[in-house]
Amino acid sequence: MEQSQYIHIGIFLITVPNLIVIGLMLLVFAVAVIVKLPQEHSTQTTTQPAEPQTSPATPVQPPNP
Amino acid sequence: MAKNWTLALRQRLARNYPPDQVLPDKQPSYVRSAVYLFGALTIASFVLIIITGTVLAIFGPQWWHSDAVGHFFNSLHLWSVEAFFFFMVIHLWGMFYLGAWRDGRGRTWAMGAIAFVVSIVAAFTGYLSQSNLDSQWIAVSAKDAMNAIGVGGFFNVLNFGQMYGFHIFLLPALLIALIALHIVLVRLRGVVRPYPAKGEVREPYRKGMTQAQYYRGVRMIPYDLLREVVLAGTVVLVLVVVLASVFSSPDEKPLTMQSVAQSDPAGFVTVSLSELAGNSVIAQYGQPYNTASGSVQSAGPFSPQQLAGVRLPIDTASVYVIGPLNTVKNPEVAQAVQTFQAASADQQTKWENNYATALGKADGSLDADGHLKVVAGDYGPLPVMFGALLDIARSGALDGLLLSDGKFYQTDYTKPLLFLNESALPNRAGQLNLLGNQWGMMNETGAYPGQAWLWLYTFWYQVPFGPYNGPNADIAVWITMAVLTLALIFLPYIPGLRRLPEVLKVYRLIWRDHYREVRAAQEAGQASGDATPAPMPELHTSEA
Repeated sequence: MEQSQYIHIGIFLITVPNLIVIGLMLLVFAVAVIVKLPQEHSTQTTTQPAEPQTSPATPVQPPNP
Repeated sequence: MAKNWTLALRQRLARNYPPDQVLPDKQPSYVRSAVYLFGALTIASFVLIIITGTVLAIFGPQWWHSDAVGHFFNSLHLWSVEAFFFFMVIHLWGMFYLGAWRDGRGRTWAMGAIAFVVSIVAAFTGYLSQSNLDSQWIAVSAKDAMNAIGVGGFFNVLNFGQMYGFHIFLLPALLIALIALHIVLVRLRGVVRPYPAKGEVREPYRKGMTQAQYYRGVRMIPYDLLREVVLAGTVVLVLVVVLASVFSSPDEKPLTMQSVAQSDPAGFVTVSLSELAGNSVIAQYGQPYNTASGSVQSAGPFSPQQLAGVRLPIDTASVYVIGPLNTVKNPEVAQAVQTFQAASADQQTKWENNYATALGKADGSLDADGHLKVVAGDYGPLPVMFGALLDIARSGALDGLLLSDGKFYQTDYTKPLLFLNESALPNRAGQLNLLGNQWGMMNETGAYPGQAWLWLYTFWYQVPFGPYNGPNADIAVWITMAVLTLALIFLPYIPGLRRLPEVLKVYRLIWRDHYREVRAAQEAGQASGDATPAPMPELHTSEA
């Protein structure tokens, strides 16, 4: 059976197939962060209707203004 | 009884699991990001794992080794697992960066994290169930870690039958329950709102909020849950079928006592001699095999390994040498065994030492009787004994003898695997870069991706100092990983850590359209002179 190629740097030793999988995961995640899904074209979008409030709306502080 | 149980159950289900939340047809507009797709892709991969695993289980664990269709199903199973972890890890990253545990969703995160950990155990038992070289090596490597924390005698990774049961029933059942619970929580709570924008007005989250209250003022867009799941399933199915067809799956032949005795008779006899002399690794191991201390690990004064006691007693001289020889119906062999056992301990040790020295100089060639050639010396009955043992091993009978415990069905490979781990398995694993200090836990035999998701676990074994590089390495790694795993599960409840996504700010990129809309609404509100920001704009489609 054919064996994997290895990349060895210091204490790090990784097979090329594992490196490809990890690289693909990072790439797919990066693409997913950027890509927007297509907008629905068949139905109007709506805003969640307001209901009687049980507590007053208050300004919310952003995590890092 | 006045109460109608059926009615009560229906009312309770309707109250706790409203259909429009369990099967929603609209979602907040900010979920229109590809980051939200990986949950469905993970579930689709899991469904494929269950289907292919069921087929493999129906035909039995040996089917895929000898049948082309079986091998293809094994390949589908393997690549489904790769896809499952691939998508699950990305899903986990995505939910981490979005701080998905906020607003009462801590249990949803914890359930997902526990499912991730259980998935790793399920995959681990799957690798152990392959019944090939990979599973042999994973088993003997993992046993030290299991023994170090005292569970090796109960959760015996060398016992194929036990691991197979865990893999095809217990762990999948647990995983199905955890994933189902995770999905139900996701559906009932809904996806978390984005971190608030500067100056944004919104109703603060409070416990018991309905989704209608939680999403008030949020623009909702049409959403088809069922279509998303079907599309995800189709994508995963095509992906897995292509990968399985192109790359197949590895199946390195396992080592046997027979194959080792035939390929390396000197090595076989040398290990057998150490088992008889009681100076082999297993003879000196300690719990759960005996009361020695050679491989007993502890964290300070605390040793769960010793505490667990001898659960799988193995007397190496009896199991590997005397016992098998007693099955030989040959007077010369019986006499040799009797002579050895009747001799004093000093005499036995002298013969063993002399024979070990001679074996070290042997070139591995065999005489006309098929016995190992060694220079003449004072070895007592040992040449006869080990000549006979070599015969048994080369014939394949020893493999059967080490499995046999008097019953007909045998699935416990503890004894032969412990023997093979003395020398033959580590040598072969080293050739394949599977050793622990070669990041072997991540690696697969052949040119295949392995268990990349174990990178952090195997990383600690590479640290060249401290407890990770000593006789207590396994227990040190266990403790470290236990702490990190608990931190992952309870991340939503750990001050500081749970605010990491706010510092990393990846969410701004994912929700950039949402923040743009909030800004536009705020600007519109300011332009109209309204003190309160205008509601989110109604965005209409081109057809509207």
